[in-house]
Amino acid sequence: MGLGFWLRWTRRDMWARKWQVLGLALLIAFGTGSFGGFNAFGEQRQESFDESYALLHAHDLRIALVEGAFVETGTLLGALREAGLMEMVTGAEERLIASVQLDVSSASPAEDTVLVPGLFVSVGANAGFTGNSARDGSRSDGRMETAASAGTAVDTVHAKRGRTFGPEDAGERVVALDFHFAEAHDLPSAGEIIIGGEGRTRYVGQVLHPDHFWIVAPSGGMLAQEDYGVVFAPLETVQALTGRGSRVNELVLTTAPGVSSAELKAAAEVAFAAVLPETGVIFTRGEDETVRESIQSDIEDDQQFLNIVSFILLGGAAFASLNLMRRMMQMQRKQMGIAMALGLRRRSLAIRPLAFAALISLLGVIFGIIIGLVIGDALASFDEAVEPLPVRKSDFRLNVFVQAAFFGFLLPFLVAVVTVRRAVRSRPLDLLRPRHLTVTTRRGDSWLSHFAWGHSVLGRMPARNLARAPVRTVLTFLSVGAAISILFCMVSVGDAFGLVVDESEQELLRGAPARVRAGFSDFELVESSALQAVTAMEEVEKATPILSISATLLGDFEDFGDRESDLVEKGGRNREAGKEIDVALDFLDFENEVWQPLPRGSLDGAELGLVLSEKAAKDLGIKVGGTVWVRHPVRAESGIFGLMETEFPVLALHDIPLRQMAFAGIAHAGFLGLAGHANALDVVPVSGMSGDELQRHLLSVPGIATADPFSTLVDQLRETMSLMSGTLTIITVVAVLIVFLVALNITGIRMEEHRRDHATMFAFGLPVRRVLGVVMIENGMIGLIGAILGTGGGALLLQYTLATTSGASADLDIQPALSLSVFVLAVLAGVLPTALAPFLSFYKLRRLVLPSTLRIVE
Amino acid sequence: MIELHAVTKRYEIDHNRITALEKVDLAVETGEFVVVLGPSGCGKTTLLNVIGALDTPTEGTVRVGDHEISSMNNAELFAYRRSTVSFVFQSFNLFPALTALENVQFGAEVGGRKRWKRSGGGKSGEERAREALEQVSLGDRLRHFPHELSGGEQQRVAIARALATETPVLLADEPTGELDYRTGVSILELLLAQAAAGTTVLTVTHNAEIARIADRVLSLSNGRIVTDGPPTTGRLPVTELRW
Repeated sequence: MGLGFWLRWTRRDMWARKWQVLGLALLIAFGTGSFGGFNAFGEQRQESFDESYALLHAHDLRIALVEGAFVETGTLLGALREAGLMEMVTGAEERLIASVQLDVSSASPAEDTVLVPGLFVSVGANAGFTGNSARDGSRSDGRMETAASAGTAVDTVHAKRGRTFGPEDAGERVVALDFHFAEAHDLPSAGEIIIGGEGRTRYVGQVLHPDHFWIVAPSGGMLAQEDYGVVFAPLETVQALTGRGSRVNELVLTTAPGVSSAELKAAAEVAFAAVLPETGVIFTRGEDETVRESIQSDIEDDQQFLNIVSFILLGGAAFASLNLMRRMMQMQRKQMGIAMALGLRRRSLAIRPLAFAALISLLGVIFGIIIGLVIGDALASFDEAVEPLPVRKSDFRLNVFVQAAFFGFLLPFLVAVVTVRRAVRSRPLDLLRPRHLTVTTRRGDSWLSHFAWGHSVLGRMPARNLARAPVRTVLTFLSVGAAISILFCMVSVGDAFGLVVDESEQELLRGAPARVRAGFSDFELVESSALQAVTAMEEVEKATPILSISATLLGDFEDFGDRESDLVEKGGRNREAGKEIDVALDFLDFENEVWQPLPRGSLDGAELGLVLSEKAAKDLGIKVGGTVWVRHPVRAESGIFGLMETEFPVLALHDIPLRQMAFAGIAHAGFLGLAGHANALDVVPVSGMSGDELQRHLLSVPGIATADPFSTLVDQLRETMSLMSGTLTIITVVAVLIVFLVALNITGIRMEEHRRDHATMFAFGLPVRRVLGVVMIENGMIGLIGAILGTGGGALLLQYTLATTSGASADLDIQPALSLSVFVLAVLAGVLPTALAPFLSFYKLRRLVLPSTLRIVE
Repeated sequence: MIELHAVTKRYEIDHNRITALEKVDLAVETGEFVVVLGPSGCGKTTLLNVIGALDTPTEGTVRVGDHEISSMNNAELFAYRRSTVSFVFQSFNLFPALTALENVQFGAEVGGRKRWKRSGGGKSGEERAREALEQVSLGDRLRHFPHELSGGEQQRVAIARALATETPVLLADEPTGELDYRTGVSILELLLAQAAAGTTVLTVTHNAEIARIADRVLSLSNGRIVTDGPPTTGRLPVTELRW
C-alpha cells in the first residue's frame, strides 16, 4: 500500500467529518491568524514610520526659541556657522512657527463654520522635493543654500492630495493644509481659507509633515485634528501672513553621517549659549520630540500588548484544538485496532491518523494566513485612518507567518503524535474493545460519586461529565478563559478611557459648560484695554485672566536616565535629566468666579506652589507638601525670554485625569517675569449662549489669536478614544469568534461522545428539550468557569495594559474601570455562546436514529 | 397488552427497498415472557423497536395497553416510552457519568415525580433505585461507575434501571449477548421474575436455547412470524439451560 492509498483514505476520513475538520481548522486558523496578523502589523507599522521619517528628512535636532522670542532670518544658521558646526550637519533650515486662528468655512463642503485654533509652520521652498507628489514628480534632496537654509532639505512635506511647494511659491499667498485636519473636515484638495482673519489665502494641497504625524493641540490633546489645524507655507509666506517681518524662531537640523544627535545637541548648546546668551533656547533631539517619542512608545507598547494578546489567543485556540485533535484521534482507535489485528506494521498504522492530523493542521495554517492577512489589513486601514503616513508598508511578512504557521501546525500535530504513539503501542484488543465495556480500576474515581449536586440525577450529569475528563475539561476552560480574558481586558480598557473622558468633562465644564479660553497673541497687562474689551463684551457674563505657559516638570534626581549628553547645568548645580513631563501651566486666581480646579484638601490661593494632576505626581514620585523642579520661560527686563528652573512646592492635586494640566496662583506670575500680565481669558458667555457662538464673537475681537471652548478638549478626548477603538474592536471580534468556535466545537464533540447517552434517554422517554438542557448546562458550566478564569486573567492583563500605556494615552490618568457590567458581559460572553451552541444541534438530536444509535457498540 | 395488526416496516437504502417486517400480526398478554427468535436480519430487533416506539411502522397498527402507537405524534411517543415500556440493551447503554445507583435512579425518576411517588408509596427515586439494585444483587455496588463493573454487573444494573421504571412492558434486546453463561443465566432469572410479577417481557435473541424457558416463542424469518407458540421441547427451568 503506497502513500497515495493512505492519502485517499485520509481524504475520505476528512470528508466524512468535514464539519469537525472545518471547526478545528478554523480554531487553528484564528490562533495563527491573530498571531500572524498582529505581529506582521507591528513590524509594518514600525517600518512605515521609520521610512516615512526618512523620506521626509525628519530633523535630528530642533533648536527653538522660547515662546514669544524671535530672531532675524539667518541668525540661528549664522550661530551654527560661527561655531563651526556645519560639518556636523547635512541639512539646516530656519523656520517660523506661529499660533494662528484658521477659518476654513468657505472650503467646507458641508458649509459649516469651521473656525479653529492652529499652527502656521514654515517649510523650505524646496520642501516639495520629497518624491512622489512634487509637482514635477522629480525625486531629489534639493540641495540649496539660502539665508534660511543650508544643505539638504529638512522636515519636508508629502502631499496626500494636491501639491506641495516650489521655489516660485515663496512669499506668495499659497499654503498647504495638514492632511489630518483636511480629512477631519472633508475639505477638497484645493480651496481658500482665512488665516488669522487676514483675507483669503489659497491652499493648494493637503500634506503630511514629520512633526505632525500625530496632531497634538497646545492643551496636550492628542489626535486633535478635528479642532486644531496645522497649515504649511514657504518661510516668506508665513512671515508675511503673520506679520513677523523677516524673523524666525526655530532651526531644524539633520546630522551628518557618523554624528549622533546627542553630539550635535551638546555642541549646539555650547555654541548658542555663547552666541545668544540671553535668549532662552530649547534643544530637542528628533527622537525626544513629543510626537515622535509618543509614536515610538505607542508602537512598542502596542506591539508588546499585541504580542501578549496574540499569544493568549493562539494559546486559547491551541488548547481547544488540542482537545479536538485528541478526540478525533480517539475516534480512529477502533480502526487502528482492526488494522493492527490484521498485521499492519506500526509505522504504516500511524500514517493515516498522522496524515489526517497533518492535513487538518495544514488547512488551519492556510486559513490562518488568510485570516492573518485580513486582520493585518483591517488593522492597517484603522491605523491609516488614525495616523496617515507617506509610506505605508503592507507587504507579506513571511518570517512572522512562518512563526505563526510553526506554532499553528506544530501544537495540534504534536497532540496527534502523542495520541497516535500511545495507540500504536496498545494491544489490538484494547483498541478493539469498546471503551465502555472495558473494566478498569482507575484510581481516584470514587470521589466522583460524591460529586453530586442537585436532587435529580440528570442535574448531576453535567458536572460529572466534566469531572470525568479533567484534562480535557481544563483545556476547554483555558481556551474559553483565554478568549474571555482578552474580551474582558478590551472592554475594560474602553471603559477606562470612557471614564477619563467623563471625568474630564465633569471637571473641565464644572459650573461653566460653555467656558471658552480666549488666547491673546501676546502677553497683556491684566488691566489692559485688550483684556478689558473682552470682559466688557455684551456676550460675556464673566471672565478671569489666565497666564498660560508651557513648562516642564522635572523628575527626581534619583530618577535619571543614563544619557551623558543630557547633563544639564543650571544655576551652579548639576542635574541629570530624569523623567520630564510637559505641562500646560495656568496661573489663575483660585478665587475667581469662572472656574478653578477642585483641589483635594485645602488650598490657600495666596500660597506659592503648584496644583498638579495625580498622574503627574505619581509619575514623578512626588506628594503634596513635596517640591518639584519646573523648567519654565522667564522674561528678562529686556523683554527677551529665557528659560530657568525653579523649585515649586506641590500645594494640592486636582481631579482632572489629564496629566498635562497644572495650575498656580496668578499672584505668583512674577516668577515668569510677567507679574500683572495674562495671555488669555477664561470667559463664560451670557445665559443662553453656547461656547461655539461665543467663540465666533471672540475671534472678531482684535488681539485675540485663539478661542477654544473647553468642550472641544473633551471632544478631542472622545475622538481619540473612538479612533483607538478600531484595534480594540478587531481584537474583541477575534476573541468573541474564538469563544464561538470553541463553543461550537465542544458542542460537536460532546454531542458525538454522548450520542448513545442521548439515544438511551430518548428510549426511556426523556424529551428532547430535557436532553438538550443537560448538554446546555454542561456547556454553560464550561462557559461560566472559562469566564471566571477569563475575568481573572483579563483583570491582570488590564493592569498590565494600563501600567504600560504611553503614546496617545500617556497623559491620561487611566484607572482600571472594573464595572459590574464588564463582569456580566464577560460571563455572558462565556456562557451564552457555549450554552446556546447546543441549540444548533436541536434538529440533529431530534432526527437521531434511535435503533442504530443504541446498537452502536463504540 | 400488546397487539400488532398487519405491521409492515420497510426501509429505503440507496433506492433499494428493504422489508424488515411484513404484515406481522401479534397479540401478547400481560405477564407473558415472550422470546423472539431468528437469524440476523430477520426483523426481530425491528419488531422490538416498533413495540417500544423507537421506530414507527410503515403500515399497520400497534396498540400497547391503551396506546395506539401508530397514530401518535412525537411528544406522545416520548410520553408512551416514559409510561409504558422500558429497555434492556445488548450493550447495556448505561450512563458512564452516573454511578450504578444513579443509573437506576434515572429509571425511577424518568417517568416523572408524580408517577414514582404514586406507585412507589411515597418512596424517593433513590430509595426505589436501591431496592431495584438489591433485587439484582448489586446492593454492595451502589457507588460504582459502569466502567468499574463487570459486563454481567453492568447488565444487571441495566435491568435494575428497567425495573425501576415500573412500566408494564420490558423489552430486552439480546440481553445475554455480551455475557458468559453463568452471568447470562442470572440475567434470565431476573427477567423471568419480572414476568412472574406481572410485567410483559419480550426478549429478542438469536440463541435458541434461551427460548426454552419462555412462555411463548416467536420465530421470525424474512420479516414474517413463521412459528408462534410455547417451546417445542416444553418449558425448562433456567438452571437447565446450556450454551
